[in-house]
Amino acid sequence: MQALNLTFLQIDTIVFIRAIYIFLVILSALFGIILGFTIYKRRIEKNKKAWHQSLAGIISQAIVLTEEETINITDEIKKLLKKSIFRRYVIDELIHALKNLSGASTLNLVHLYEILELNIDSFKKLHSKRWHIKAKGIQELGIMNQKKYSREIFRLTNHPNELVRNEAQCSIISLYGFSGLRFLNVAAYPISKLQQIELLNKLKGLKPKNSEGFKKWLQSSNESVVIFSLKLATSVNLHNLYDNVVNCLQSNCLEIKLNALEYIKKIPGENSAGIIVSHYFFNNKIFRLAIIDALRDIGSENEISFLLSLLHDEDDEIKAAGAKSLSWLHPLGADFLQAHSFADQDPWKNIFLEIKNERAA
Amino acid sequence: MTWQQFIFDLFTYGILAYSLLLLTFYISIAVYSIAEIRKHLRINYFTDFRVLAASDQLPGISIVAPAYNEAANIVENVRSMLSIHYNKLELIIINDGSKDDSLQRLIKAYDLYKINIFINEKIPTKKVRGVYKSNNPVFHRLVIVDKENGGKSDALNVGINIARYGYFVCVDVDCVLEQDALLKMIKPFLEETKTRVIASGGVIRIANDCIIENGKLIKINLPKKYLPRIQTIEYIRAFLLGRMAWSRLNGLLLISGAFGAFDKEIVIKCGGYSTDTVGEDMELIVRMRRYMEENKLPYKVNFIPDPLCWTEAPSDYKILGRQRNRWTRGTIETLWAHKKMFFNPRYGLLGMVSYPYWFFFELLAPIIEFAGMAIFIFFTFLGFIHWPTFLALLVCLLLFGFLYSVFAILMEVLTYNQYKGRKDIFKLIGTAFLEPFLFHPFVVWSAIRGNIDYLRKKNTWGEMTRLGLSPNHSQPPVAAIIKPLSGHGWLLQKIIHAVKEAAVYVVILLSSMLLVKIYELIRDVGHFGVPKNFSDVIKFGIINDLSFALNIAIIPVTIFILIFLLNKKIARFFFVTFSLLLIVIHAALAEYFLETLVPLGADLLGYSLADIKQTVGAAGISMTFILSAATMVALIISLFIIIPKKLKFNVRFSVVMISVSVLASIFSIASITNKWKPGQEFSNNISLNKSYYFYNSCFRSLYGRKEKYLFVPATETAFEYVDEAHYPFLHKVDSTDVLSPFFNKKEAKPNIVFIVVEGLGRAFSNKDAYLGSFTPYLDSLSGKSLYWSNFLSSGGRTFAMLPSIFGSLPFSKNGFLELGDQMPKHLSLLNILKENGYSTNFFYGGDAGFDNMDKFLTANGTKIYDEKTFSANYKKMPATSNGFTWGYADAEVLNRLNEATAEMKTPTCNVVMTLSTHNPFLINDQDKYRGFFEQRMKTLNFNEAEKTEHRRYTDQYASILYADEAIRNFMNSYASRDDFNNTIFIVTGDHRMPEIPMSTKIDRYHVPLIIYSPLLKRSESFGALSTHMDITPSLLALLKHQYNYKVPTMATWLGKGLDTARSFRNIHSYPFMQTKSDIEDYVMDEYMLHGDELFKISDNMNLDPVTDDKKKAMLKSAFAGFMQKNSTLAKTTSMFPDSLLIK
Repeated sequence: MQALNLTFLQIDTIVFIRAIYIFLVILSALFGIILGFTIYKRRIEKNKKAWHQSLAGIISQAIVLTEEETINITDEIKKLLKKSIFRRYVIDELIHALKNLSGASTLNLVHLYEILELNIDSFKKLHSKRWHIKAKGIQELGIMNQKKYSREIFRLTNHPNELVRNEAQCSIISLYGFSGLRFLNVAAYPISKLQQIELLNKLKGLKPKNSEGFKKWLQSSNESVVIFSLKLATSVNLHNLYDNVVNCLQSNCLEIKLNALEYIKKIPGENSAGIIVSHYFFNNKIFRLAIIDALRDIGSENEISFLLSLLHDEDDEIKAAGAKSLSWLHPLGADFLQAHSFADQDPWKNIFLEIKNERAA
Repeated sequence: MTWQQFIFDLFTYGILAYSLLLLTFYISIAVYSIAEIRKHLRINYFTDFRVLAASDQLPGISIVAPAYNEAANIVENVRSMLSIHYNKLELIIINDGSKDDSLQRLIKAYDLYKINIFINEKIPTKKVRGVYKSNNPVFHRLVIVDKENGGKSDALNVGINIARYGYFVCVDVDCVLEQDALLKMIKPFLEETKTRVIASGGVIRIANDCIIENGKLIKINLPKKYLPRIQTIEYIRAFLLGRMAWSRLNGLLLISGAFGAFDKEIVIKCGGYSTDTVGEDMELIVRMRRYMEENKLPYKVNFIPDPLCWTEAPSDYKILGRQRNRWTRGTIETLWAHKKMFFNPRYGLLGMVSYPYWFFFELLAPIIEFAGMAIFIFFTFLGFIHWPTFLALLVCLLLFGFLYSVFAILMEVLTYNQYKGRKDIFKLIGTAFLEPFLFHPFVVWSAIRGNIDYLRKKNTWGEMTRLGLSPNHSQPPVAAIIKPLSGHGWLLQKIIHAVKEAAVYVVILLSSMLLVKIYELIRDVGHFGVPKNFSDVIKFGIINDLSFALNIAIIPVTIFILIFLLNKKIARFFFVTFSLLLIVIHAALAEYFLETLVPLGADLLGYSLADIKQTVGAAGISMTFILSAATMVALIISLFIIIPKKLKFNVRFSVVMISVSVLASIFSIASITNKWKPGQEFSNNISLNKSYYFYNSCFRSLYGRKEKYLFVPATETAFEYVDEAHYPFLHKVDSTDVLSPFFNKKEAKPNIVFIVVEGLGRAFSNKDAYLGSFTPYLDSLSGKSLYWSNFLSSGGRTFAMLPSIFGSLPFSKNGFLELGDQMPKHLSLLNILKENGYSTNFFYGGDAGFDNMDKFLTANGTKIYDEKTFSANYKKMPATSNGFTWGYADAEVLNRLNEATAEMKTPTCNVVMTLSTHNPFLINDQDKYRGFFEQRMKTLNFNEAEKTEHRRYTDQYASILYADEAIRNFMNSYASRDDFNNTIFIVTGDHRMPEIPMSTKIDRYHVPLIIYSPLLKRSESFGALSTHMDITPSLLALLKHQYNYKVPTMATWLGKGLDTARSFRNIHSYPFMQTKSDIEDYVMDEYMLHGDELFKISDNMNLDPVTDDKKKAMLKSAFAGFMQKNSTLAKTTSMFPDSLLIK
């Protein structure tokens, strides 16, 4: 039998020494970065504290500034403004202050922003190739109401990068309100639910001049545009879109239908309940449950027979939803349910008890 | 490549490749996670969560929090969760049949009342006992469900059935959530436009020692205790690096059960949480992903790195062990349940990357690591480890692990930086440094236990005792303070228990070895009488046996302790079985020595199974041995049963005992003590520990490190080599003819007859034999012959005879004959004579297949006359009790020669190898020769003491007398043949018979050489030392000079030729091979090297130990030179170029 050759792992020691050396170098580098970063961070925080003192005075001054007065920029600030890091800090502070203010004070802060030529910084960011910097530039220009850059910003509402696109859409709305929504005409990318919330928030309290745009958007091939338009129309109570919205119930997109139902629930027409009931049998369970739920708000005694039929649906969830709406529409309320012959049988017993409980509360 | 090499390489390279692959994955994960975290941070910068919080467009979320026996903290935990910022939220607490007063506390604290509710059981669950809501409108979001105990999964399923909203977040009730946790958690569901986010996971952070008030995290502190602190790093590593990378790849398989958000519709479609696994969180994600893949629905499982959920980490080993055990079982169960996906391209990334990664690097990693450790320990004891490489690799691996942790810490500092103080960061780094020593081994061990528990079908969760996070629990009760200690102690206690038992077992093992030693000594003395230096024999014998037992005890002790932690009974069974096996083998080895007088070594490995059967059959297994062995086994089993019950050691003694064993093993104490010898060879062998000798010899033979032999420059005595690079043994032939002066020349080519007598040693043959001569005929023959009194065989057993005498050939690794069919083409006396017109024949009473003799002879063109060619007229030797006989007796074999060659016309070279003097020494007419033996002792004038001593070996001596007489009869018979006057007879022994005790190492090789021929001019006796290797060169020189034979001018002879100096001297330098596994002896000048011992050879062939470093170095160097050449032999197909062949 031959002796085993066990020398395979006897790799040249120099290889390991080099490996260990490399590890140690990387380790030292990591230590260095950690140490350096913590020192840097502390220094920045310290600097920011000092800058805050200086800047707070100017911002306070700007907020209460009258038309006749001018802002006094100290030499110290002027000197500091040569540093890009300080300029970034000033922009952030102004935005922060602006978000917490309203009225003329905001215009003063915008003025200060322009005096300090920080808009140039923001505009430069707009042309950055790095998407997050570009987005930051858009955000700053939007919040600082820099309409002169609106053309550039509008072009970015269809940018392939989602964040850039979202910030551009928000900025355009910040600058022009409902008029800014014209980007919906050309929106090629889907608008996420999160962005829709952002946009709805920006449009809160504003009123559209007309509903022409909506009619167009409700027929958009971009489903997210239709959904957003439905949400917006619902939130701003746009009555004259009823027929367009009812048409949306025929969409293949569940989300559109659900939002259309929300609109109808909030702004019902003459025969809304009948219309939605007519859609009941052509839709899936989620939409059916939404219809049954909507009947509680817009239904009448006309729908009682329909709801009664649901008590014998195979699906217990439909039974329960039907019973709930029934308890609201029937003149006898929840007691009507108790009068049923199967009221003591499962699952109706529990369903009816729950409804009774709810109604009592 | 041998199969051992293959397995070894497979293991070592496999582990290396696995480790490198794992490290590559880690590096990729780290790099990949950087990009994902950076992206996340950049995007999040633009998200105003205040807008989200205020929005009525957010989807509703149901928090589902199962609680089991959480009474201590549940009220505060619920309060904490109710304070979360989210508009459409319901909080469902499921009391999973708690045995404490959790429900009552909740009812009281939140003014709850039982409501009637219809639960649509979309997922079947255990019975719901009641649902509660609060009378206080402030707590309108709260729903408490009381149900029968069914485990966490069942409770979560109840929560899902009750949940109103389309998304649910499962949370461990004892977790503390950040106020904006749900806003951040829901964000991924709202962001995605192309694919459906089916689940989202969040980072879990360690809350130990953080300040929490009213269920809110007030101040983040680094845990003070080591265990939670190391888990802090572990969690950062896992969440910040690992899961972020997998999330980017959309390959995430696990979202922690402590905090995760799910799309309820998909969860219900998948059937909810599985109640059949303890890893329900992972299993659900895998099942959801599988569902989406199978239905070809685009989806995503997201992960966000923000620290949103804080939980208490186990702070003692016991709880941690349970947790890791459960995680392991959960992983196995999940992977097993979804094994269909393993490398299944249908499942895309999930089947091709995620699943295999989890299988190979999460599930198998601890198993491979544990197996690697076990094999490493094993290799360490076998001496396989190349320590510089091992240490360098170890340092590299440790550094990598440390580096990875530091990188994770750096990522934490650069991103969320929860631990602000620089001191905390360096504390974390220090903790990471200790991880491989204090934490990682335990985690691996827990995973192994998890695997074992899985195999044992243990599917419990394991109690997770928590100390609590609220300030009320900042001063833990006494029980809680003790808990970590007792938890820590759990493992320690078990180890101590194991060590105590192991110590007792070691003592029993030592005692058993002593018992065997006593038995061995009694039998040795009974057989061979009191050996020389008997007190030393006893002393060293006991020391050797004890040291061996201590040395080897580390193996059963280590394994025992490891198994003991899992199962005491199996551990005990293992130790007893191991000890029994060890002792039985030891007893068998002692018995072998008793029969053969030589300790059995690795030569056992050199024999085929047939050879072993033949040898064992020849020796037979005595009834005494069988009875003794049975008694011994019974006795030892009794010791192992009785003693542990009676004998209890204290911890200190046990630790000392085991430490001694460990130290004995580390310093290989057996190798030290086995060098201590009483002096005389036989006494040395009796005191030797036979097991140590056997295992050590086998180990060195099988796995001994490949020696790097020094190149030895040619000396004045060396040959003139012609092409050492290709034919290391080929040299110009020294044409010195020392025999011609003694021979008359005849025209006719002489016949040659070799009689090689089995076991014929000089110790009992011819003048001055120290045991007295028992070969009267050979004595008289040598008086008429050329006689070498100080002649040596080249081997300690028969295997070396043919190649040495007839080919002067080197040994290769296990003897030249062992090369079998791979024997390189070689020159020999036999094939040269054949070329010169001779008929060459071999006569042997047994099977010539033994030791591959037939292969050698066939290769040399020699006709074989072995037992198969004997007619019925020939008589076999008597059979042993089990019916075994070696074959035909010497007289019969010699007669066979006469019969076969009498009529041959061509010159012949006949070789006879005898057998009668081989163990079991059974000869025909044995009593007659026993009588001869008695007679011979009288003739030799032995005193009674000498007679008594010799009578111990009556059969051996009787067989020698028989062989002597057989040769006498043969010679007398041959004398009547026509060719007698033209025949040269050469008589020698193949080696000295070991069954009669030997006095020195060289005794084993000391044989006579007699060259008798009517052609001789005169007789002569030579005192100079020569060996079997010298016969062929000298004989060929004679034949060349006298008869002008064609003899090659270059040859591969190891021997230079016989030395015909009358007085003792040695001009040769030769290696000797005692057994098929040992080439340990070397003779040069008047010195013999045995291993590391140097002896001076006296003129009567005694050995005296000497200390002469210079001489030793010379011998070692020359020996190394031979070994270097010898090591090349197995790879060569021919020992000389074809051009050398005689035309």
